[in-house]
Amino acid sequence: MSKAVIEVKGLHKIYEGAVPVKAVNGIDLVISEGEFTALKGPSGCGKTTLLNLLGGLDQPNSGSIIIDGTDITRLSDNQLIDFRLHHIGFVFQAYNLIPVLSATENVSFIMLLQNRSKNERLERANQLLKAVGLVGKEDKRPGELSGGQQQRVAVARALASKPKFVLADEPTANLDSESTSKLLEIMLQLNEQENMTFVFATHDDRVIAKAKRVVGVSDGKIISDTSK
Amino acid sequence: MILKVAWRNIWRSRIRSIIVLSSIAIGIWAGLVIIGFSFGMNNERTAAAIGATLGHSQAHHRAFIEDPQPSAVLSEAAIEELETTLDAQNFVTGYAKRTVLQGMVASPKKTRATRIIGVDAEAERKVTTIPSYMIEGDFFESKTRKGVVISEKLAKKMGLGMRKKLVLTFQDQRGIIHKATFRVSGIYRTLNAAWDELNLYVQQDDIEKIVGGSLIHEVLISYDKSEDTEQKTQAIVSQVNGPTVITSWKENSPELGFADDMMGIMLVLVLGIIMLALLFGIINNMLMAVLERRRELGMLMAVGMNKRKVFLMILLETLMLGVVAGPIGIVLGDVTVRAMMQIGLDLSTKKDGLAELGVGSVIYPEIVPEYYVIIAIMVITTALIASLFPAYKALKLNPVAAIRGN
Repeated sequence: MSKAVIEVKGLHKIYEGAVPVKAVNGIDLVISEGEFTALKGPSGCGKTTLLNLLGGLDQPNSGSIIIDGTDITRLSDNQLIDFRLHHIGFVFQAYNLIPVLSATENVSFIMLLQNRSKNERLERANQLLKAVGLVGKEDKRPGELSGGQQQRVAVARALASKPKFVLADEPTANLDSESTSKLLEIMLQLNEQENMTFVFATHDDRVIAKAKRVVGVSDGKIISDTSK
Repeated sequence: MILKVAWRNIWRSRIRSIIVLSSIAIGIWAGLVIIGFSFGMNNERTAAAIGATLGHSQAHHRAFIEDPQPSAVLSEAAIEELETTLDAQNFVTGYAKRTVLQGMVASPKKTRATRIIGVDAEAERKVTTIPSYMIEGDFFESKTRKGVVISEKLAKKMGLGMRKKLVLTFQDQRGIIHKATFRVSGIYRTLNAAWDELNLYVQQDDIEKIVGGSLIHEVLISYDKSEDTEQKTQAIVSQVNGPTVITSWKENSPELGFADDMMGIMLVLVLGIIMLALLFGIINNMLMAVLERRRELGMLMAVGMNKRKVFLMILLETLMLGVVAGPIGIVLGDVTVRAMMQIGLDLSTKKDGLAELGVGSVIYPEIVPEYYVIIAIMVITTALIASLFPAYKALKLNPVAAIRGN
């Protein structure tokens, strides 16, 4: 049996307001090493909130999130930033690359934050860009790349820090079919070859179709959990 | 790489950055030009006053300082002691003994109070620049008996001209009042209108013949350079005893000394005001830059860029604005001041007003290297302060909301 990478117990997140919204309402979830999991559900079901909680970007009202033996709900802001840097890779819907840096520099930047040597940064960045099929685009800036290519740089960046798992929030939402297929193919390849764990928040059927495990979320609760 | 990111971020909004860089450079340029002209004007006024009237220091009898009576003369022994001391100082380039009497000057038309300065023309020429201010006649070069050198201003007020007669009335050291006729042998005009109106020069020999003896009230002392005047004066003071008092030009002309002392403070204040204006410009620019990059900063914080590094990045961007614009402003200012040192700023239309201040009508600026350092420090400090608020706004961003663009 694979080792658990993420263990979620009794997770609650309520957004206070005139009418409090229970975005995550008592979720228990275990994600194991090497899984390729999709959190699916309609807009507003709580999947992005759950993803943000798993990534330590948001704090729950109650419950625990244990990643690699550390309950991240007990970490301070600064500890969380450091934890994210070394344990979690992020892929965002809008790519969010640094526009003034080249593809290589965007991938290297996160390793710079980890204080890795210049040679190591360059070597790994080139290796990852090759893995995501961007050979020859190393010196291109985001503005010179297509949406699909930018998202592949974002995937390479997410993997650059050698994280325990990658969280991807609607990674294909802005991509056409061809770019989506290419991106999913690359991520599956990385999942299979490097045993990298991927967790997606998505309502894209193309992603759901490729996922090895699909967790259905509705009204802040898990309503289905199927493995292929 | 953070340095590289900071540098490239500056050029994201090229026009905006160029405007901010230009404003910093122009601010520094203006500061340097103001400093150059202020120092030029002040130093010219000081140099002119020292050269023409004050000397670097003066020696008097203690009683003369308290009340400049004719009887407050320096004794022969005191003068001998002083001369021995001055001769031993290598920074003393010369000294001139003077008779200073308060009296009246009368022309056929008018009578006025005046100060009669009796000089040894030969010694005076070595120590002061008065001969260079002659506009008519000469400074006792032609041996005219009972010649008097008056100012242009006094000549006009008294209705006098070259070779005209005037009568001087004064009291000697014994209290005896003398009245003697002199003939105008020269007319001078210094940069100090107030001095010109009051003072006239006669030869010491003529005074001595009238009063029947030596009458030295003042010794004007000249140094090799104007720097460290106070220390040089103290070196003389420490070796002179008795009733002889040595005072530096700052003590003899407190208003000039005060202006000299205040110059630095005033210029730092002016620079401070310029920097304050720049501060708000830089804050505005950086705040816009931060708010435009909310999504990117949110991403950086999400992926693990800690607050220290986010702060450092904003700080570096702001500092770079100063580091780029600072040298440009300094070079521009330096070139402008150097060019103006050759040309001068012609303010002939304000000639009379400037003369009241003891300054010529063409002002030549001066390079003051230490202010380049002060400006560089002020620009860096301004940039550091300007980075604080935008950096604070960046640190306050919520990564999740920022990534969403909220």
